[in-house]
Amino acid sequence: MQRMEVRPLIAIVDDEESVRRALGRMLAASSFTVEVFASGQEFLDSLRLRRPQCVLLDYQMPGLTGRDVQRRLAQSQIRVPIIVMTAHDQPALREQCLADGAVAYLAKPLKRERVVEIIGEAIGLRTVPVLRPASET
Amino acid sequence: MFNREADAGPRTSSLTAASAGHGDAALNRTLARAPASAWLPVLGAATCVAVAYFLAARLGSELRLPGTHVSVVWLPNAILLSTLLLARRRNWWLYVAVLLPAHLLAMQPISEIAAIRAEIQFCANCATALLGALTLSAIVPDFRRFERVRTAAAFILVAGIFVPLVTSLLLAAALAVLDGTAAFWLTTAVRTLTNSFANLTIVPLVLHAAAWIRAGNHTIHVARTAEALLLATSVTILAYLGFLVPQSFGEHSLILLYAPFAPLLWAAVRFGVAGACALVLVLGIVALWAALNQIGPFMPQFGGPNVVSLLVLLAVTAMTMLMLPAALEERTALERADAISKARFSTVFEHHIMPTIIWNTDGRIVDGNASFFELTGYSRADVTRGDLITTELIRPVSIPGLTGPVMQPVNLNKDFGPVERELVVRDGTCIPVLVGGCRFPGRSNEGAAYVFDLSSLRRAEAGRNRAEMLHSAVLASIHDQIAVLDQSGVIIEANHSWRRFVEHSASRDFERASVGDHFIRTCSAAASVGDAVAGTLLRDVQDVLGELATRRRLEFSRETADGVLWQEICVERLHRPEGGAVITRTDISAQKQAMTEAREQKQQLAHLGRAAVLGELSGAFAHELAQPLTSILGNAEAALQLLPRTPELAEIHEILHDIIKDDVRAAEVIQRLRSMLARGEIQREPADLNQIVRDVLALARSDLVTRNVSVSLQLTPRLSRVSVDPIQIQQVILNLIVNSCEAMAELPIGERELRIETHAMAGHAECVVADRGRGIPAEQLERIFQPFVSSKKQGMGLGLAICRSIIEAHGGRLWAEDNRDRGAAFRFTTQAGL
Repeated sequence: MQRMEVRPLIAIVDDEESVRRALGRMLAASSFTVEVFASGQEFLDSLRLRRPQCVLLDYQMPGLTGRDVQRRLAQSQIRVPIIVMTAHDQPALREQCLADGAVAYLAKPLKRERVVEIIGEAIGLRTVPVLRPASET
Repeated sequence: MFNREADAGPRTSSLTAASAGHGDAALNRTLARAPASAWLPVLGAATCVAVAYFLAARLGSELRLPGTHVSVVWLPNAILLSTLLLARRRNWWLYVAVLLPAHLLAMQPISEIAAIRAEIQFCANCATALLGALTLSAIVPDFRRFERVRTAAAFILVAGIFVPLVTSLLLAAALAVLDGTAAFWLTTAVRTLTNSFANLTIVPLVLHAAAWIRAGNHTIHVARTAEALLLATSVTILAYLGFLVPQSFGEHSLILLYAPFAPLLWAAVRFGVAGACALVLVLGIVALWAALNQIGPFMPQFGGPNVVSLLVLLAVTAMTMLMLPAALEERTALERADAISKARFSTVFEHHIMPTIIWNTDGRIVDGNASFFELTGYSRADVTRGDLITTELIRPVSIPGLTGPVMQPVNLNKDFGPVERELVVRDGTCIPVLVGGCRFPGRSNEGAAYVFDLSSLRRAEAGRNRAEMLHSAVLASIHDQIAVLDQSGVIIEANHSWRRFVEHSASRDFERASVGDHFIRTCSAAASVGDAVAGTLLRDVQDVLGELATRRRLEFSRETADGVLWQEICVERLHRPEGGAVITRTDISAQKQAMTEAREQKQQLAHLGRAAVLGELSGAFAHELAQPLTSILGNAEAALQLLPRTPELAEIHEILHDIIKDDVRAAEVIQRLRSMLARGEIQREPADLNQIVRDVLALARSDLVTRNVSVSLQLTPRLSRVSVDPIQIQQVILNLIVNSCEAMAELPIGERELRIETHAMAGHAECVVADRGRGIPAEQLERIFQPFVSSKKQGMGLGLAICRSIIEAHGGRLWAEDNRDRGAAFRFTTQAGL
């Protein structure tokens, strides 16, 4: 039997430091390994070194937007599940992101249970330690 | 009553006082009591008459018919007759009274019988004179001058024949009783003839002398006086030669008898009645004296009858001498009158401003006046040559397109006109004229005609017609409805549009008024049954007609099947002396529609603008807030996860610190947003809050009308100015109004009342916007001002929040209250006073 990594690597890409820190803490406390990036370019550069299991991508960023990152990833044929997060909850945007290949589109602020659930689905984790039963909110 | 006294002497004041309202008898009585000074001239005259009477009586008694008491030259009666004719009736008694002693004195009666005879004679004389005077004044009104043949003839008949004959017969009869009938017929004949002769000579002479004296025009013509004297002396000489010493001429003596007649006739022609009578008198006396004394041609063999025939001759001569001058004078007078009449006619004819002509039945124009020549351009020479023919000059009116005369040519044989014709003037042009005329009376073949130039009249008519047609055409073509009222409010004229509207589209009573209707009454009747528009219109019309205003305007709308129609009615003063007004109705629905649309667009634009801004802002807002919220949530969730595992407390500390930091950041974002929404730079200026309210209402009017919301304004007058950004305050008020309207959307139309008030409070001004809608529950009164709280389906709920932020940026407060009766009231304050 192949042993799965108990703590998958999640990348968080957001231009706000407080958001990075908070979300990093949140996911770390949820038994994920977290790596935070301040910009899309930084994230893309890091992909040479290692690939995360999932990436939490902020949409509204200066420089490379979330969409640009999505595209780059698609162009480079790098398959990483992308969860787009944004402060704007606009249906048109949602459609676009999902069409571009995102697995989910979440409006800020993010609920922990929802994020963890989606991440779990995205990386197909069967043995993610669920510390708390998922509750519907 | 006064006419009789027209030639009276001096009057007294008692005359005028007493005569008012009294009869003639009273007047006479009053006059009889006049003072003595009035009688002096009369007494004087009476004395003169008495003297003349005495002398004449003496002469008469000398020239008596032999064997009788009858005198052949008895002038006293004639003298008395003249006197009575000249004197006033009321004085006659005086003259008679004065003459009685004169008569008696003259007759010198020696015996009783002689005295009685004298008295009888005197009575007869007076009777003769009285009868003559009375008859003459009755038959011949104007006997004083013998200028008319008729007068002379009447005088001759009365004074020359009738009176002497009648009285002589009576006298002779009376004396025959006394003396017997000896020589009855002789004495009668002699007396008749002698009285006749005396009357016919003395009376005209005296009357003429009296008239001459009264006329006062006493210029002495030397030539004429010399001529008179010549005549007098020649007659006297001829009389002397002919009657007194004819025997010295032998066989020529008879011819000398006729000689005096030549100068006599000459005197009649040249000196009229007076001259002729005087000479006949002188001649007569001389002849009679000669006859009585049987000298000259009167030989003794012929005796008494000589005298009678002589008297006949003299009487007839006197009659002729009266008639001849009368006839001559009559003709002269006629000629003079004729000359005057001709002169008058000539003057009138020549100077008349109406062109006039004298025409002849043969067609020629015989004469024309100056106006005629001026009008036609012809000259007198043309007339004299006989070139102007009436039928050529005066033509029937020509009507274009019609050949031949339309009317009958002027018929000169009888009176005609006025008829319209055309006059051909010298240069060939035709003038429209009015022609009329008549033939001269009598058997004249001439007449007069006037020619009245109608050209200026026609031009004026044509001008007026053109003006009227233009006026009508203009009125008819004007799209607006126009009606003209006279000063009393009656419609005297209305154009085509007005009438069409009345026929087809009028729905309210006052709209049906048309020409002839009393507009004021129609409006007042409509107003009395509740038509408010009619009431306003009535007041406007009355103000304009009463000169309280020159122009009034009102707008009103009404629902029709085609939608809302707006009409504008203008009442404007008619500037003419008789007054009046002009009412203009214009359909302004299109304009109103355009204005409403423009306002709506402006509002929408404003809304959109703000919405766009808000839309943009909300994106930024949402984003700005989402970030710290995400951090806070993430941190909190992390802490919750960590706590059961007994984490490092330091890490919890950190988490809590971050949470606080993010919260503070979020608050800053909201604050920034607030100030951004308030647009940061508020442009303050001194503004009148009342005016701001009115401006907002002007903007919102179409909305309010569409929603059928009525506005009740209670603005405190003379509100002191406030330092605000008027546009932002406007937006606050507008927002409140829109909210209030939406709150009342479900109320019945008549109950949608919006109340806006302004108050002056201590230190600030306050504005209230209240409605009668659903009202606000107490627990919501503050919540509604929070952002994202809305009762509308599609509202973001930012309106009130933004309003509050604006007001607070101005240093004021905005809050809501529940209305006492129903609905809600929003109040805000601004700092007052500058």
